[in-house]
Amino acid sequence: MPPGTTETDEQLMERFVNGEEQAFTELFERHAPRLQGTLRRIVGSASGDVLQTTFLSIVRARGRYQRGAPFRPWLYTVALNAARDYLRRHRREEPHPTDKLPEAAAEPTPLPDPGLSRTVEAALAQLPENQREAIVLHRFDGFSFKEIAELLGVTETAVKVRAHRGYERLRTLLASEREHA
Amino acid sequence: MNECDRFLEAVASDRLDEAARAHARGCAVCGPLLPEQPMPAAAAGPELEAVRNRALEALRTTPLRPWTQDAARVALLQAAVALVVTVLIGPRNWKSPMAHHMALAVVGAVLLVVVTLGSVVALAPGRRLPRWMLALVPVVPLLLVLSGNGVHTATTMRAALPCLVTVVLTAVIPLAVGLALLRGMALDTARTAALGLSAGATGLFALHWNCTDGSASHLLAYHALPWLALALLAIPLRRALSTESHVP
Repeated sequence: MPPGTTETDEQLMERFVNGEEQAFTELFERHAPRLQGTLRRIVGSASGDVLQTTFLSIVRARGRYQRGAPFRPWLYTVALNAARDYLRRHRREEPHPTDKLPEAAAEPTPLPDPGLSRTVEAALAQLPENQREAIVLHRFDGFSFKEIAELLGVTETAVKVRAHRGYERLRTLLASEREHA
Repeated sequence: MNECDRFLEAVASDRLDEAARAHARGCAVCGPLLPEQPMPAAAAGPELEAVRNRALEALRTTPLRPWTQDAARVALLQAAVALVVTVLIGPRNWKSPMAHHMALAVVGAVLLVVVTLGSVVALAPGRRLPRWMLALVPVVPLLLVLSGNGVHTATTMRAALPCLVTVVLTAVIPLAVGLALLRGMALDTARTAALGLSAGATGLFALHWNCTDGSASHLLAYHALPWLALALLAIPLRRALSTESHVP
């Protein structure tokens, strides 16, 4: 089997844990672009910094990866932890957004995401952090509520409540934006 | 309930059917809320290249450190501290004619497990395992009281205070080492408290063999309470420290 073509994430991770750079590069290429999009929707323009923190975290603490565990949820858990840490440290510096949608969000990094609407991104930025996380992971990353509950370390019911409130608020914001347009 | 409300209910409960999708595709407000299909990965841009290069550089310079190695070191350190302090302050309680030796031995063994295996559980990867340690919060004080001889000897605060001081001082080094290790993993309140409980148990273990006051009030106020307070104190201390890695 040629390396880097048909191996699963978990097989690559096993090789990466042992220090194989090629395996790391393959995992990075598979997941980093999409993860950057996710982080951009959660932390805005700091997504590059948080993405770097995420990958440095998994390099430094690769000894904590449990062999055979699903890689993608693990990676997203690390990324969400890094995003929360970033938001916690910067909460005092950045005032909480108001109800009005911003004129222009930070310029999004070009991604293969044709359905992406800048209005949706701006509306997302208005949601509380926990609702935003649930919606981003559900709507943009295709995780089920059960998987999101695992990622966030909360119950599935809690995720559903957050998502419901988030979608409701998002719809209100989008409807209001359309009325003003 | 209109079509938009029906779509909202469906999307927020993971039960999107074709009718709801069809509505969203034709509705300007609901359309943007329709979940997207996962996209294939794209080639890395310059910003991603920089992140990858930095991570590869770190990979070349950071040796693999299995978590079990760190956990074993902490367990050994905590066991050594507990035993050294026990020897230093002496097993007065064990030698006392009032002591219930069987109960003392059993609870002593439990405390040693908390000191050693507890730190391993607290440092284990994932979120679930460390949470089990929190079950110790009611169990340990109960065991301390059950193994006590019921005799109240330290009747003044001056006589009782050394117990509290012993619990706190004995835990200083284990707690400091544990907090330093916790910087290498994601901020997790339950994990921090679990490690605090394990580190604080070093002092409890030493006192268990030494303190001749076996009254419930003394054991709870001057043994168990400072032990719990140390676990709680660990939480703001950990939050004040920076995080080197966000891996759970």
